[in-house]
Amino acid sequence: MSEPTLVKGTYEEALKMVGHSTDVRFADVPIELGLIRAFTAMTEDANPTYWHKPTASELWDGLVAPPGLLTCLFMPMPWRPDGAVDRTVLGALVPLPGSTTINVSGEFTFFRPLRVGDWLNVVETVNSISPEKTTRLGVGHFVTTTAIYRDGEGGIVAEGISTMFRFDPAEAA
Amino acid sequence: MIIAGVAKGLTWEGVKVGEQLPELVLPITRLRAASHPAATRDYFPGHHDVEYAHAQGQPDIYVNTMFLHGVLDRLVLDWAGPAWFISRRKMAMLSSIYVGDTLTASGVVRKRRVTETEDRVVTIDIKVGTADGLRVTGETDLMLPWRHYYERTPGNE
Repeated sequence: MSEPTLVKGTYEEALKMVGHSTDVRFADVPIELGLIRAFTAMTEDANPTYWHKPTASELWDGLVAPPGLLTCLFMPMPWRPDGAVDRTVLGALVPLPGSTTINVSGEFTFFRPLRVGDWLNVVETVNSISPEKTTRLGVGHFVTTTAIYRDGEGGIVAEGISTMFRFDPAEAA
Repeated sequence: MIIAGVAKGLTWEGVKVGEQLPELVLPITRLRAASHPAATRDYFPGHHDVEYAHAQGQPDIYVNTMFLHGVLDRLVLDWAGPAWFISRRKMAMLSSIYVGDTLTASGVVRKRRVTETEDRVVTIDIKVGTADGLRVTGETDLMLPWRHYYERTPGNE
């Protein structure tokens, strides 16, 4: 995949996006067993509520997904028949000078388990954008966004706050 | 292996402040590095394209945020058991973890408390390191019981 598109601009332009919220965006797909299997195989996670329906039904009234799958549901696919959706996260759409990004930190609150069949949607909001900072990686700005994840009935499943660094690398390795 | 009729694991009475969780050791093999972008649906090139990683100033491709979420969540639920609910997870990435590294995740029980709404919550402090030092810090709240919590989920009242 080629380098993801980042909206370029100045810090002053970026500050105008503070408080901006996205439209409601649905996950490409509902939570299903294949996604859960791929995720839990990756971490070798044998938790039976992800793998074993009788146990999951006893504890959670049905199979559940690992909490870490939440944000994966909203990543764009690299190709689709109607054209790839060329975006990563809201932080990439904030106009800033930085040519690349890296996630720095995040905090997620979960209100209920993620369930097989859940088709979730998200609304993201730009919280804050730091003045220019220099880190080990380079020079750039920290962009903090919040996200509210809802189910099809409008119930809030989870909330998240994430910080990414939009930067120009100091020196190529 | 699936264990039928699973033991429910840790009880509320069994939670001891200061207890160390069993460590979780996971090598970042080429297979894991190659499969994690698909498993997390994350095709950001820093996780699969070494030239892009170099241009970012990174020595190699590195594992993504969602992979680390999965590691933190596995660490605490391997210890507590599948009847517990992860109600909060905070994570800070101090430095990246690269293909070829072996990560070790460790946790310690920092506090246990009963909230105003009578939820029983355990807070775990987490560290993830490699041979090169500390890479990730985290903090996770585990909760019992879940039904009460579900019923007061915003929008589900």
